[in-house]
Amino acid sequence: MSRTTKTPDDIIFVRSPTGVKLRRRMLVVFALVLATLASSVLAGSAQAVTWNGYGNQFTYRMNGGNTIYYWYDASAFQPTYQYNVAFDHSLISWSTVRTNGLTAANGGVPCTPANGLYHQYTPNSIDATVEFYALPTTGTYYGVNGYSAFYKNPRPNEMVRNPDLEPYGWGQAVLNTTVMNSRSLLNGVGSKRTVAAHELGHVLGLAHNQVAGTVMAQQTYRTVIGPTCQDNNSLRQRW
Amino acid sequence: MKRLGTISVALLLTLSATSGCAQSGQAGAALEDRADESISAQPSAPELFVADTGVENTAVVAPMADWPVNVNDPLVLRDFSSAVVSGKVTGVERSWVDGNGFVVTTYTVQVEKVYKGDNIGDVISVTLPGGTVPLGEYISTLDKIGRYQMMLGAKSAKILSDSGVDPSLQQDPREMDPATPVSENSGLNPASESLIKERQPDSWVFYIGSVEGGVNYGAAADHALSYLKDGLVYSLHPEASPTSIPETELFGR
Repeated sequence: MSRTTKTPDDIIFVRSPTGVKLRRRMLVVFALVLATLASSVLAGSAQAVTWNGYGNQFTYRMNGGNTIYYWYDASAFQPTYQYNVAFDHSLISWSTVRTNGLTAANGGVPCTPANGLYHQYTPNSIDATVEFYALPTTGTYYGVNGYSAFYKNPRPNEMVRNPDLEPYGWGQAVLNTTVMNSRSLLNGVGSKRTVAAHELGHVLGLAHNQVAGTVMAQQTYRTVIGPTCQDNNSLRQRW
Repeated sequence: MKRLGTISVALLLTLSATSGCAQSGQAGAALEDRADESISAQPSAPELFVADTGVENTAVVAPMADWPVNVNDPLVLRDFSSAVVSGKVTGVERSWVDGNGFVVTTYTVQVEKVYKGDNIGDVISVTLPGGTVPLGEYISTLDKIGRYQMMLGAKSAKILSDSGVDPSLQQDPREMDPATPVSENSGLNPASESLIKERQPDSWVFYIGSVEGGVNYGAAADHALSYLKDGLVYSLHPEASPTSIPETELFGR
């Protein structure tokens, strides 16, 4: 099980501009810009999951610091199918994103600048901000590779919420064993590790896109097996 | 000029605030508007059946799903489906919790056209995501399918605080009133008065995926419902193309 953390060198600091004294006219201009921006953001937030061709991210990301605390449901530990290994891969691939979605062994070089995401295992679901499951999925979700859900509220109203509309506290990434059991663990754009990375990307705050060279493209458009530098650029806007 | 600038700022801020209220209202509605504990049929609109399944005015919330094919394309969705029909809803049979732990609702549909599929009757039942069930029934099904912890498990005070939620508000669902409504709105309620008013469909188009235990489930979750208007088919899914296709294309390529 992965317990990877990054070195402090990878941490990115973003400083806000401070100490600028504005004159009254500049205040008016500033207010105009702010109001326009606010209108744009609010008007556009409901549309954030629509395709924009450049990768996409939800309006909000998970609350809490830059470290996610991940937990595996017992369903992930199926020796024949090794979903836990796929989930391990997804965590590592998002923590240190490499060129073309490749692993270090396959020649992938870390994208720069790195994102600010860290992950740490927790044995207790109560402390987990990312929960991984491998479960049979039927009914209206028949045939799906996997899905992710977002939660915020205290029980029992911890309904799946829309990340476009509000921040969330924790998320779940679920792989559908009915479809994924027969898929390769590591090879191909529909492999267990790739779908796990896609679902984890949602939990981290990224939406779908139609860009082939990203793991957040749906399988139809996907040409990579892991997060790429373009995915990393999207992630860096939130982490 | 200065006055004009001030007025502009005020106008923009007002617009911005109004927009913000609309957003907040939508997000908060899921918690506030769950008073309806049962499905109550109302007098129908001129052509289309209207019923409140308890999700009207609640926020649309659905898991993000990764499908093996592009279900945003109505023709690909047709191929992905086992049957595709158009028709009108004539009744709401029940809302219940499916094998995934999601709330779904079964509608009675008077079939008008069959675009794909064999042995489709004149009247069929179609189950779509979304609806309202009492908490007691929700818990009972989650226990039965082994997903109580997944759907209702407790979270630490730190996570709730980080989420801006007062940890003391966390309650044990098993100790709550079992009649408390649990609602999920996937945006696919073909009996929704507000949806009918907004889209003014001539008929609904149902994409049916799996048939399990005699139940016709909508295909590809929140993609399962489209609507017909003036001979064109429009999707309701936010990721699907906003453009329409001619109804005739649903018969196949």
